[in-house]
Amino acid sequence: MKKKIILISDLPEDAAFLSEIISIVDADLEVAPDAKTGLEFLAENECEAIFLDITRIKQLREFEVEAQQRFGLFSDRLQPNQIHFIGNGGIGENRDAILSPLFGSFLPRSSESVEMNGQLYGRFVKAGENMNTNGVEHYISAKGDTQEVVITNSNQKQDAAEAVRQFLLMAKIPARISNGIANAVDELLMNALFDAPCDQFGKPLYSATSRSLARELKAPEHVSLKIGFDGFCVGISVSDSFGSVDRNRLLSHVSMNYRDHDYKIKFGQAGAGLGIATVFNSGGTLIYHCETHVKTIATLLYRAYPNYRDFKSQFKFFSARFYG
Amino acid sequence: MLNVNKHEIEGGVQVELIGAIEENVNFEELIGAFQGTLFIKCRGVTRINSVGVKTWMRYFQALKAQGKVFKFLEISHPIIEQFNMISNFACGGETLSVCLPFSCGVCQKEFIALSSTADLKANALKVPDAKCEKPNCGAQFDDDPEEYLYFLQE
Repeated sequence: MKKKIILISDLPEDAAFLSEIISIVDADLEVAPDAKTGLEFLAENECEAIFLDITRIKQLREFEVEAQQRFGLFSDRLQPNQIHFIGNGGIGENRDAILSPLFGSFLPRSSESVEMNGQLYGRFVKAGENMNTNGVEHYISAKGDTQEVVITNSNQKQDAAEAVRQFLLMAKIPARISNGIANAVDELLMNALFDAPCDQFGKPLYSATSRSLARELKAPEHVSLKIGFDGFCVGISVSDSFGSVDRNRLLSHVSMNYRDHDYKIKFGQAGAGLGIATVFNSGGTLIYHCETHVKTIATLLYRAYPNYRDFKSQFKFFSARFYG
Repeated sequence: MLNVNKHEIEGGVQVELIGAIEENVNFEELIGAFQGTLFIKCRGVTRINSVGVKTWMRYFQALKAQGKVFKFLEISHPIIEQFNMISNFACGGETLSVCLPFSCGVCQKEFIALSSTADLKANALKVPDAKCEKPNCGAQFDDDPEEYLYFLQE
């Protein structure tokens, strides 16, 4: 039986975007104009993905209340991994929605380059069908080049970030963009090296360790860094073998606004989410795939533009998918 | 890795920061003791990670607590990003000038123009035009001016 995707929105631009997605995913599209109608359909049908217009925040709240009454918020019918919020603007304008218990992914409404953006997002939705198709290879076309580096000592982090920067400069990516991406890689590696490792009870092993201390990494602590470029898209993924990312912490860090409050420095080594905010502000898509106690893959996707203006305004989305 | 060039100027000391500010940076060691005002030239800062942000803030907050005067010059994009993201990143230091990034689709070049914050404020934060050396240069400011100069808004 063909898969189903539901779009809960009455906006024609959302329907146009979804038509690109289903061309990649090969699914039937059901369009519901409001939360109530959408939930009625979900009660009768299993859907591969649920796209919800959250432009009117009331719609999200209505959806949460109705879903709670109908299925319970933690029902199998409503897996956050399958739910995609569509909003106007970026994450900054939709911070409240990210903290919803139903949050899985957020994408900005796309009215330009619908075909290109829809197909990119379609590849992401398709990747969610199979736990083994995550990571950078899935987003780089076959003609692209992908390289992998395995980090075996924490003091290799800065060299790895610098290697990424040089790789991008060689690929004629503007210096300012290359520097920003290298910084994002630095942050992801830091998380994988110091925050991810934990013992069998989930207790962090190195979160209090100085980030400048060189530490040899024993087998499960090895960190993989992959980078790919196909002339159009840069993809980078950092993976560890712990799967220890805390969903609520991640989402609260991503939605944090440091502009309106003074940043208070903690005495410990771990930051207050500034690293994740840095990654998120680097200008591209951020996808977290976390299988508890198995692995975390953090993937960054950027389109290559000749200037920062266009780079900054590129279509980008954020996803946090948790399994187990 | 961060390199620091330090020299005395009238009224104090100027340090030029070149490279990445990350976990291995120790400002106390790199800058050392100084008399008068500390001028920090940031044009050469390529990036700053989250540990670098904490290091920066610890150092400059300590200077502020000691009653030292420090001023930032030619702040580059990575530092401006932090100024825009973190309300207290300047730690009480004054910013004298900023790097303004331009890119040209004709010359396929990126370049930096400098402007004093006083001039920018006097012109309602309007970014001045800049051209590279080519006669048909089509350079444009390579960012959203309002967002880029957000930290200078009153």
